[in-house]
Amino acid sequence: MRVLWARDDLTWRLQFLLDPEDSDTGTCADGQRIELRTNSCGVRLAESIPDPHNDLLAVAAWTIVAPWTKSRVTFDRPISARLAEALCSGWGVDAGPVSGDARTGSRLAVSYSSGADSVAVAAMFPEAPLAHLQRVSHRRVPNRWTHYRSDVLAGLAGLAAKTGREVSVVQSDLEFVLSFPRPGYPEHQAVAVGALLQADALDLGGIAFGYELGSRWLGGGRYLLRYTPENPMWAQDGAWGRLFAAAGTPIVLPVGGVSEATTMRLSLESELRDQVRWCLRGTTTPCGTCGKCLYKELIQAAVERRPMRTSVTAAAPVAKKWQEPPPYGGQEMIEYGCARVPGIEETPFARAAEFLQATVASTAWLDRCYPPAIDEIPEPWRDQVRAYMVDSIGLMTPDEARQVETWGADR
Amino acid sequence: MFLLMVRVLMRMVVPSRIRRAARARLDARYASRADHRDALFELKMLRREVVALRREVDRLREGAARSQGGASQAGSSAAQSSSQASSKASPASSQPGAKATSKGGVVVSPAQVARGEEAYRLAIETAESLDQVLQNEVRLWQAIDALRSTLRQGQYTDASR
Ligand SMILES: [Zn+2]
Repeated sequence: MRVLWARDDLTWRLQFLLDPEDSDTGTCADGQRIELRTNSCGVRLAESIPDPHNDLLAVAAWTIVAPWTKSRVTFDRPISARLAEALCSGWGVDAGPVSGDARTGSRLAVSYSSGADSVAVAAMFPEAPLAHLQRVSHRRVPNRWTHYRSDVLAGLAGLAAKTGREVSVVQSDLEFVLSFPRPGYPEHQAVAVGALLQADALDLGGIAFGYELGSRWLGGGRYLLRYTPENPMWAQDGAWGRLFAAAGTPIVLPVGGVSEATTMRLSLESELRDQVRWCLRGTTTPCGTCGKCLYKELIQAAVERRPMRTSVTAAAPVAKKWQEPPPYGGQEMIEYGCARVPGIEETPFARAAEFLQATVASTAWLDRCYPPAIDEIPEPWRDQVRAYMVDSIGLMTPDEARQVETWGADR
Repeated sequence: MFLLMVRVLMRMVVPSRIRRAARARLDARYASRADHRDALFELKMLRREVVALRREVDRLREGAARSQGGASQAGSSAAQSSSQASSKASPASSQPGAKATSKGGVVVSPAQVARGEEAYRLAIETAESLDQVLQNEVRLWQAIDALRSTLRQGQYTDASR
């Protein structure tokens, strides 16, 4: 793979050329097969800043080209030996040319989607700048996915500035380089390209993501029901963790030890609560009818200990999976909700609740923080996260931690 | 059914470590539930869009039929007002069934509806075929670059000989 960056005022244009051994069908770090549609994209910064360190440009490019690269990657600007080493040990690729020193920085930025998880992270770090990446159309690809209202989410992120937060909205069409399964990030870390290109201007020494307990330790949606300490995307000593660290921007998961119930509660208690939005479809308000709205309403109702407010019925297509037996994606949160929402038997989750037989006691661990997630936080921010978790959430007991570590083992 | 049996059997006799390994292999080979779910969700949304579009087409067809029918005999009050407009216009143009604009909005003829459907079909197919063109372009440059580097190596060997 050969990678070329060109700058045109605010816009960085990326072009990547396949070497003979490369293929346009590849695999993302989570195992998903993905296909390449086209080999160029752009990243438009919000304001004019000096060129970032070559390692930052290289990591940003790697989040886009990694799935299709077989054995070598050639950058148009030399990278540090430290970065080349991380690419070699993580992916087994020869990376170069190599020249110059690695970079460092000191501040933490938050990769900010406007969703509950990243809002919770933003609330934990009130001084941290927020970096939002907005999907825009690709000039070579007709946009058939206009129901995804990236403009609305970007608008909400922009509104966060009203609370005095430092917010940058960076636009990119990079999701359209994918043709299969649909437009999206080639690697999950591509959401950070804006933060990476601004890392020198903002003096960043770390990038925080909103990945919570389910995504980091319980395998998220793809590795269903499995304890995943070695998670290839987010473990600190995984390939991606080491690459980001080599570029002086280690991955930080401040809410990696808590469940979506906790991030929901933190986000709704934060000063950014009016700008929280998990629905990708609604405009002035969440649509209230998509699968995500239904799932999040279950969690919110559980957190607020009230009946669900939804017009979705068990017969609706988005509720179909909850009429079938488990396992479910995000099952820990379904158990949590079914155990707590009053009148669950009147909701689309009635059948799931019968199957799961969860209780408040059996799901109490989801209200606490999993301690190894704190140990994994890079040193400059570890104590702050630990203090926050101890003071406002509480740590899991060894028995509760065992529930994380045996998740899925008995199924 | 087969998977169910495997699951039941595994639960009965196989130690959890092996069960996990087997499941990891299965998962690596087949699309995960999450992917299925996403794909199904997209399908559902598409289906809903198609239904909505079809409904819109029906509505337009109805409007067009009503405006045509209204020219000869009065229908509902809405059709009446539009038919009045069209009956005023049609003697001059003397084209029955041609598009007619009323105070209530645009009335579309069946021919226009058909043209709209055709445009929709074309847009979808064009986007899909463009995907193929874009992919082919990447492959083409990959082949050209490979050829170039072979040629360059050949020249170098010739010169050093
Ligand atoms: Zn929604």
